[in-house]
Amino acid sequence: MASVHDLPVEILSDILTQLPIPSIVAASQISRYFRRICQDPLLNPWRPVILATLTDPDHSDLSCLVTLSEHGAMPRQNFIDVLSLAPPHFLLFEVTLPTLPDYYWDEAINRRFLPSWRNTRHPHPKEQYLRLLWNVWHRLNTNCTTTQAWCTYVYITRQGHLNVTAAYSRNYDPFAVFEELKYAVKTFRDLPS
Amino acid sequence: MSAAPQVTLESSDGEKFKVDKEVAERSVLIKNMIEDVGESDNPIPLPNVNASVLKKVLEYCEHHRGDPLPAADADPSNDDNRKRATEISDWDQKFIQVDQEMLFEIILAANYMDIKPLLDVGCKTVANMIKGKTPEEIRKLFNIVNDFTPEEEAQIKKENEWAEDR
Repeated sequence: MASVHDLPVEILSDILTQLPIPSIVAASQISRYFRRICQDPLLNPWRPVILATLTDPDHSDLSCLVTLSEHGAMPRQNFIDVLSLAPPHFLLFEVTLPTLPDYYWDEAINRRFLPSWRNTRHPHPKEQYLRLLWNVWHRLNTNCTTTQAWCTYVYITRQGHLNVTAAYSRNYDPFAVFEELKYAVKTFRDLPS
Repeated sequence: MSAAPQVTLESSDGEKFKVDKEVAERSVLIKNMIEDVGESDNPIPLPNVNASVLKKVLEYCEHHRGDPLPAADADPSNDDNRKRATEISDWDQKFIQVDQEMLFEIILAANYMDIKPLLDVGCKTVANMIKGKTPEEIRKLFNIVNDFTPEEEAQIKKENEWAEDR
C-alpha cells in the first residue's frame, strides 16, 4: 500500500506550499528527503506563502519572516522577493538578512527602485540597495531635507545683475520666485531714504 | 429519451466499471483518451489504479459530475491564491476521511487520472494533517525514519536556536 514517500516530489512540494512558514520549517526537519524537497530551488515550496505574506496589504504576518534566513533549508533566492516587496522599516530594523551574492542584490535594486536611482558612487550592490532603502525610509519618516534634490536657477534683474540661486526641487516654482523678487524690490524702494 | 452514453473503465486488477461518459470525463486523462480513440465498446485500461481506489475516485466524480471543469492552464499565481482560499466542502471532507494508505492512493490516482479538484482536496487534507505539528510528531504520523546524521541534527538544532533567540 502507498506511503507518503510514494508521492511524487511535485505533489509533496504542492502539499508543503499550502502550509504556513513554521510548518514548512518543521517539514524540512523531518528527514533528508523532505529537506531536499524544501531546499530545491525549482520546487521551492516556500515561495507562495512568502509572497502571500509580503503582498498582504496589512503586512500582518511579517514576523514569521524575521528569522527566515537562519533556516538552511530555505533557498536563498526567496530573499529577492523579500528585498523587493517588504516595507523599508522591516528590512532595515527587523529582519535578519543573510549573506547573498551580488547579483541577488542587483536584481532586488532593479525590481524595487527606478533605474535612475542607481548611484554609481557606491559600486557594491548591497551598499547601493541599503543606501537607497535608507533614503526611502528617511524621506517617508522625517522632515529632514538633506537628501533632497536641489534645483539651481538664474535670475537677471533689469539693472543687469545676474544671480545664481538654488532651491529644493520639490519647492521650486518660478512664479513664486518672481513674486518674491517683485515684493523684495518694492519693499526696498519704499524704504525711507 | 435515449440513455446517457456510457464508457467502461478497467482497473489494474481487471475489475470493470461501467459509468456515464460525463462522469468518466471528470478525468482529463480519460477525456483525452476518448477524444483520441473515439467512441468504442472496449474498456479503457487504468493500469495504475486498483478497483477499491477506482471505486472511490468514481464516487467523487459522480458527486461532482455537474461542476465546472477547472481551466486547463490557469495562471499559477492565481492558482496558488485560489488553493489557499478554497476550503474543503463538507461532502469532500467526509469523502476524504479514509485511512492514510487510501488517502495516498487517491492522491496518486487523481494525479495519474488528472483530476485536479480531487488532487487539491487530497493535498489540502495532507497539509492539514501536517499543520502545527513538530518534526517528531510528523515522523510518527507518517511512519518516517529520521535519517539525519548527528552532524546534520546538530546543524538543525543550531538553526532553531538562532531563530528562537531573535
